[in-house]
Amino acid sequence: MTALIADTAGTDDAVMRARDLTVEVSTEHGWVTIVDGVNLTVRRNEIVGLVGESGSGKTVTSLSVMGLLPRNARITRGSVEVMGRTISTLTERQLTEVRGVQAAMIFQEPRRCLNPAFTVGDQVAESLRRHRGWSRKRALQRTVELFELVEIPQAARRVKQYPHEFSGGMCQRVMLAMALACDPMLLIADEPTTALDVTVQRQVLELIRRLQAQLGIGVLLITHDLGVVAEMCDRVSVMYAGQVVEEADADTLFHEPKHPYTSGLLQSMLEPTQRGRPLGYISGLVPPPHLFPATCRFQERCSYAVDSACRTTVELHQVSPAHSSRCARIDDLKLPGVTD
Amino acid sequence: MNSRTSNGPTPEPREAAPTLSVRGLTKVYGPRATMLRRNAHRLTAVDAVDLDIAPGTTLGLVGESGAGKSTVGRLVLRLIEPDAGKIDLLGTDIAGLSRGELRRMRAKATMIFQDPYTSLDPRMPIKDSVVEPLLVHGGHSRSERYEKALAMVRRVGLGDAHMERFPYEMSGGQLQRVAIARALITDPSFIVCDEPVAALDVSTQAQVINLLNDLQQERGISYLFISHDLRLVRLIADEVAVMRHGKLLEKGDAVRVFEEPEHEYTRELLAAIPGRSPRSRRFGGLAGCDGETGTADLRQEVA
Ligand SMILES: Nc1ncnc2c1ncn2[C@@H]1O[C@H](COP(=O)(O)OP(=O)(O)OP(=O)(O)O)[C@@H](O)[C@H]1O
Ligand SMILES: Nc1ncnc2c1ncn2[C@@H]1O[C@H](COP(=O)(O)OP(=O)(O)OP(=O)(O)O)[C@@H](O)[C@H]1O
Ligand SMILES: [Mg+2]
Ligand SMILES: [Mg+2]
Repeated sequence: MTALIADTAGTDDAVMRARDLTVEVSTEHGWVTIVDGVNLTVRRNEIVGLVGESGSGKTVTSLSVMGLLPRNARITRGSVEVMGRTISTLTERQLTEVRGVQAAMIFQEPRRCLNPAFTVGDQVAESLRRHRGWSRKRALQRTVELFELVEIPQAARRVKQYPHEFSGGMCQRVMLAMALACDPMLLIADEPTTALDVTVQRQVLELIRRLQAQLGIGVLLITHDLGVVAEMCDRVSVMYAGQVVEEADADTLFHEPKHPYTSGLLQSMLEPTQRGRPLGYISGLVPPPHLFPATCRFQERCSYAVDSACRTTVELHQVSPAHSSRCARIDDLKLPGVTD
Repeated sequence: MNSRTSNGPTPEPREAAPTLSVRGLTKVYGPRATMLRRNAHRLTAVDAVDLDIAPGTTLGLVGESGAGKSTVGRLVLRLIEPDAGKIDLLGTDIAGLSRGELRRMRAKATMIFQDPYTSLDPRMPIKDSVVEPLLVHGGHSRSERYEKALAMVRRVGLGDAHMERFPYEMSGGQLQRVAIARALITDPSFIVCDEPVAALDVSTQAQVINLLNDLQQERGISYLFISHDLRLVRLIADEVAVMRHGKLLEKGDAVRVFEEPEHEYTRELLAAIPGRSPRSRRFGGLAGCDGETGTADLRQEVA
């Protein structure tokens, strides 16, 4: 019943698959579970959104996929596969290969990922030289093409410049060029436009969408901006307190949410409409991981919670073949989604 | 009372004297040219800006990164000195104020910043951070000050227990509430809010915006609300001013600016607002994926 539903269709197209992924970290409270039983699949030719409030486990999930978990964290259950290879069984060398060639990641602060002492072109070319064993000249030639791909104007000139000569939006384009250098099939973008202003955000998002379609890759897009999800994603997984609480195709999720948390997030979504009307919001906070309750984790903040059903562990229930929700009241609740 | 007027195209001078009135405001960064340094690189961050904010209303100041929004916010409170222009704040020309007068003025005109983690002293318990602005102004006993602080902390939706906590023990949304409590403790008539919710989650953003709106209704506070997110500005502003490269391109009634933007750049900003549903996508992601860059076949070439 739980959400291995993604397995039912298009198995071969999966570029990334997490099964029952469970991650613990060592803290002053002992080993604490921060990601709990996450199932997540990204296929070729689609953008999957991973949303949820700060602290819900989005970044930890994506770092697990890349084999980049911090030292104090470990996968204690389940597995992650990228292009069919199970990450936990790989040697450090094979992991480097997966990270450079099969999967790539971009982050919120592109500038922090670039070395100010080297030209941007050399930094992108470095990846090609390492993974493909190309000469500097050949790698730089390809870098110019990659800059054109990510629509950096005057590519041939700009590869020779240093990061400080680039705006935030242009830095993110450089990171995209670097990410795409070795033709990965999976791109993970963790809040890629949060630090950029609106018009630049739009350009970078449009670029990601265009590249995804053009290259046929799968994209995992992590964000807490539901407007970005609405614009970009084909399918969406909503995370709360370390668990996936709802997953569905984007249209269904926005219009017929089946989890009160999703519905609450949709109500608090900023509307570009009239002022004056108070926004909906979810009161309270995501609990810290060592205080995740054994009941439904959202229960404390949920205005639909009832004593009986919500005071136990709640599994993901299937609503329809491609839609599931971790809500005990899935059958008797009618939740508001977005209104057009 | 809230003297919001949402109809009528131009907000001509209102009845009440404006909370803030700015004419020809200019700020230039960089070294001045001298005999030895003729072509010093100077940047006009704010260029002859005129603004008015009526009592109890909100002016949204929008524009891209580097437009000069924060510089305007700091100038109007004279946290930095202008190179030219006249600033009337709460009926006073602030250019002539002495240090002491300026300090008293800052009780009535305060500021909330984007990042509560850096705007609050990490070594101070919350209660001391909230009380601090009162110390500068004197006139209250210690117990009165803490009583006021507690009332304010409750008003922004936090509990008594939060008073004893330190910033690292609280979430971003809670800290931004603390920053608001701190800005409100001196009972100001005007607050500059510089990207006050940019660092917060959606659900928390909504709470803070609601709170700012409620406080305005309750106390008739005026806001200069700085943001690059037009969705936020739409929720809170009576009037909107659009800024780019230090200049105001367009300003007017919020409804008018959103419905009938005059300037091309304003239209660009509006077009960059994401839609609210996958059914009404606004971004043309799939257009133009062929052609000019000649990269469609890169994959084969390398594979
Ligand atoms: N190395 C670590 N040691 C201890 N706790 C950690 C570590 N990494 C993450 N956590 C905790 O795990 C939880 C999930 O963190 P994560 O960074 O995945 O959240 P997120 O959903 O990406 O949030 P945000 O939107 O703020 O980026 C948080 O409570 C965080 O404090
Ligand atoms: N102290 C300073 N010295 C020199 N230049 C400065 C200084 N402060 C700001 N600037 C420059 O002035 C311009 C306007 O900056 P400002 O911070 O006002 O922009 P902003 O509109 O608030 O942008 P953002 O949305 O990124 O916060 C920028 O080009 C900035 O680099
Ligand atoms: Mg994160
Ligand atoms: Mg600013």
